[in-house]
Amino acid sequence: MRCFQIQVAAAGMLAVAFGFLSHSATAGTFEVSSRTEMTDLMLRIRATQFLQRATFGPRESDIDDLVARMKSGGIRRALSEWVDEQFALPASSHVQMAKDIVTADGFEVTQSGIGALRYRDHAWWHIACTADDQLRQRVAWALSQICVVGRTGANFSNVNLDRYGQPHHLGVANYYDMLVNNADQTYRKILEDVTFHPCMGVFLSHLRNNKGDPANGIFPDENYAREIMQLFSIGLYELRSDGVIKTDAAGEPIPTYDNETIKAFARLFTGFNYNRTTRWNQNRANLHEPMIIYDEIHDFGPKTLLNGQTLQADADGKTDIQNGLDNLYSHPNVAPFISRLLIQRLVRSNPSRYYLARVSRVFNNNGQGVKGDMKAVVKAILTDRECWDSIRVRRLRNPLRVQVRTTGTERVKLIEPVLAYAHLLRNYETPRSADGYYRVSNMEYHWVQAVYKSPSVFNFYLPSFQPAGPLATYTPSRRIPNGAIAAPEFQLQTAVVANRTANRFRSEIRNRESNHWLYRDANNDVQRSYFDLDFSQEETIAENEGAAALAEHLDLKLCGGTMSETLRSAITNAVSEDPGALENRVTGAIMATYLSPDFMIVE
Amino acid sequence: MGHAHFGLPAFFLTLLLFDRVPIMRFQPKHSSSSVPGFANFSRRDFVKWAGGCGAMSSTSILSQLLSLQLTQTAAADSGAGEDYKAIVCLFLFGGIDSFNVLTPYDQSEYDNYASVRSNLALDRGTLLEIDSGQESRPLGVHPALPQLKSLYDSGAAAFVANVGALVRPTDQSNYESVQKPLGLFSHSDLQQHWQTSIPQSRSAATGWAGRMADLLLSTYPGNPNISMNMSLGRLNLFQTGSDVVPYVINSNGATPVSGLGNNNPSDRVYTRIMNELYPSAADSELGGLYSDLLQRTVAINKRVSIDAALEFNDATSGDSSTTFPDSGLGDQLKMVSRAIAGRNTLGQNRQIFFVSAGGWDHHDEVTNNMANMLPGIDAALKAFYDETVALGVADCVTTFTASDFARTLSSNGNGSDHAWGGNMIVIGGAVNGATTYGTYPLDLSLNNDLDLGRGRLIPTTSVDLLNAELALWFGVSESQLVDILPNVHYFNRLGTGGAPLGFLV
Repeated sequence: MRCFQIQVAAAGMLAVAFGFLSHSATAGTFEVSSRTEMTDLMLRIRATQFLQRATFGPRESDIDDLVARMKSGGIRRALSEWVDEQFALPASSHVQMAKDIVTADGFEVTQSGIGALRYRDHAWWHIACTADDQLRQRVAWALSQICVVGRTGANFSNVNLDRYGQPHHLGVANYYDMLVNNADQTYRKILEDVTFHPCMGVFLSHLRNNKGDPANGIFPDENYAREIMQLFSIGLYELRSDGVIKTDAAGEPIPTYDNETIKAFARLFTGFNYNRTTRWNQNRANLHEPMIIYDEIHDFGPKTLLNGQTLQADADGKTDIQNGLDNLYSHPNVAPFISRLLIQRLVRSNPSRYYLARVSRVFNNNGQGVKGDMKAVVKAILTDRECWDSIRVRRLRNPLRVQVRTTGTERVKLIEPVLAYAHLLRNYETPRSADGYYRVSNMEYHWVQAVYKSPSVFNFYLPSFQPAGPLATYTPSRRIPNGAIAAPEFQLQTAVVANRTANRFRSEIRNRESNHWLYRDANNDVQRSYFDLDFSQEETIAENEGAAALAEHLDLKLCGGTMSETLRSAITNAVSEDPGALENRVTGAIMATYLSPDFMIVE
Repeated sequence: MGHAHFGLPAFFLTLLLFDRVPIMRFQPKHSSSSVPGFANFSRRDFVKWAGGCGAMSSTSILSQLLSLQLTQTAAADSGAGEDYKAIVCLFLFGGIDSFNVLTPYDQSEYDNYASVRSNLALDRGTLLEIDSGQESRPLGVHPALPQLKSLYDSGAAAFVANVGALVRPTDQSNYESVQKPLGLFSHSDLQQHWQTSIPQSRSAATGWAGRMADLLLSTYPGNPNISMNMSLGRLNLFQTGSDVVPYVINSNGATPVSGLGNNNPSDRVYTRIMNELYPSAADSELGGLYSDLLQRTVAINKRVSIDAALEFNDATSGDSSTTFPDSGLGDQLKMVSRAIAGRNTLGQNRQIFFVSAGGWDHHDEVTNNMANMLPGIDAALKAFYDETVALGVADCVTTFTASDFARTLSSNGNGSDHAWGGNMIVIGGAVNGATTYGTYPLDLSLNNDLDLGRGRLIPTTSVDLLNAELALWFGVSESQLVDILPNVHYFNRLGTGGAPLGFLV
């Protein structure tokens, strides 16, 4: 044990001494003509880096706006105000958007033969591509990958109306909207709304969870009790606020809970049934309103929850559950556990101990004594001093130029498939239909990750997943808690997914047309939606300024200035030397860039 | 690059510190004494300690590919083909009305069947009579399955009767209190349960064939680029393990990366850049290109994916000697037979395939639909069996059917609704055929001992036993079974020397 610590320490010191040299890579060098241009370029790289995290893909107009604000008000103030303004925007609703697009198509939401389930996908993509409240939506997307409702549950795919006039299948969109609406609330409220949401009740089976009959060997369902602790709040082991796992005297990690705790929480989460029912066992599905509590099936016995606290029964089941959630929420793991997951979704796969400790501190107290204030937490994550260090920018003279270096491995993440595609859509694609709706299908075939379709409560990938390969023999520096590097998104990158993703990007870009298979109509004809891709800007640059300028443009627009010299020169050489039509050479360069490590690994 | 330059021991850990199941990928040489807290945990200990197999995760194909490269030499020496076995899962999505696939035939049993099924009952005169192999009791096979009947009679096929997903032994007496599969009678849940064999959970991230492949990987390392688990058309839970994920192909083979090598300007530029980005999957060659290890992992992944598809298609080109029916299932099984024929080129001596045929959710017109759809299944299964004979591997390939559930015995007017236990088929040269395994209920009439209402039958055989039989045959040891099928010991007295069901072992 001692031996191990010394080894880690030695490795850490060496990494500190040589890390920068061995891990950083020179990316692009940008020649500039003036100091103003130099400043603009440096701000541009930072604005792109920021918007890559805070939106569904930076567009040039958004970058221009943010650069202008940084220039006039300073970087920190510009970013802080941007976050505040984003959270102040009205929240876009997926349920409403799905209904709007159905109406725009001239259909009824319950109509059969129109592939009605697709409207929740259209709604998600349209909002991701066009909505102004990008940050709120991006945070909701992160939350949906923490408090996961998976693909399967009674009525999740039922296109009929419930007896209160809402389509069952938009229940999961309602769940998603709940997360959207809570993206600027407290995490305590998120835990509560998740617990009471009927989709979660169906998915993790605490709906109609009965207090049981222990004398006859019947006990409450433990499913939700286990997952809310393990996945939605505190995780398996006690953590320091910087994410380091605590160990006991024997050097063992300390479990946060045991099976008795699970049984106690299982008894807490009893009594739920659908809203508007009149009996606890009435099966009238309602996936759109919070579940209600039937005291007659709620377990009112005392329960020993976390930290040895014993919860005495309250007057009613709902208060009881609130008190139990308070007990869970007061656990010190909540801050580092949830902060890490949010940083992984928004910024990088491996926040350092220092980064995590700073965000945890804000999580525990927003400055006004409030715990889990999502606005403060998100701002802390996106503006932390460390979150910029994946890219280092240097000014050089003679000639005047900006040199970009990336610091790699410990400070980056693999882009999620959905975010890679959203980047393409937001930057290049316009729906051919006059109403402008992004009728995008779920894309599950191409890259598995599809909204509302997590295969299980464990999301599309595990937070600490590590792919085999070079990461397996890498010893991280001491900045990284617990001695292992994670790269969750690689869990989706099977050989099949890699090829299908490549083929989808290639065909859309090459054809300058994207089409989405929507449904088969009454004549059994496939109905599709079409998008046009516009690369005129890239063609103009290639035509007027040459292949090297095209490479530099793609570097800034797609790779945030971090494109390697390898890719830059490959683009320059291939585009300049091929005898084919310019417009086709340009598409070849764009598809290769979208499928390059330079684009796929986000700094 | 990396700490190896500093001369430190090359240990590493993958601890899923925030997840339910930490995974220790290699046993590092020095870890047992030097790693605080985790020294004494094997990965399996972690699984047990942390709450069962249901928590295991799927992982990237890379983990398999790369760990296998270490043992490539061993694979080449193992003589692929000498010890060869394959399992083929035919999943009949939608819940086939399998009490009309296998029916009673004895007159009094038939009369009970006819009364409960009313207008859904098949005419006794049309049924194909078989011997159940148990006390000379006859059973009937659907008239649209004559070739299956012949295979059965010849000893190359068997049935497993009234089998379904169970958590614990279940009957009417303990039905209310016993732990039952989640979401009984729902498609999505029961499909998942058949694939995971962990029906008490919706959180299972691996399937039983995936876990089996994980276990067998060290014994049968196979092809470093192409998983032993191959799926026609879709990723599935059944074949997803912690280290092994299914290699998805379609009836035409693997999906290559399109455009590479094409002679048009766009693809020429694309190809040239891709070749510079991804020159090789060798870490030594990529090291200079990508100092960022995540970028390097992307590069390896891309190159391996590109090459694997070409390798698979190369190994499976050529044609079958048997004529397969021109149907979705026929095409799928033909592709499976090509992958079997290419096993030596692929270097695989264990293969697990997943094929499927959907459309069995016959709430309406069940009788007509079955009559129309079963001949296609019959023809495809027969052609596939014949092709394994032609390839000389009939004894090495076992095919079994799975389906969400059987359907209510009582009619809803013109169709039948979701039920539970059903009758499944196993085919192969290794099968102890001409026998029906498990317990085909003696009395199907309404309110029989197993009836939960409307002829929803409590399964009398757990699907775990069907799976255990396949696993033991495939090369899993009895002591390993519980790692694949965590509930199996509730149904099977392991270690008594007997077979779970007896159709293979």
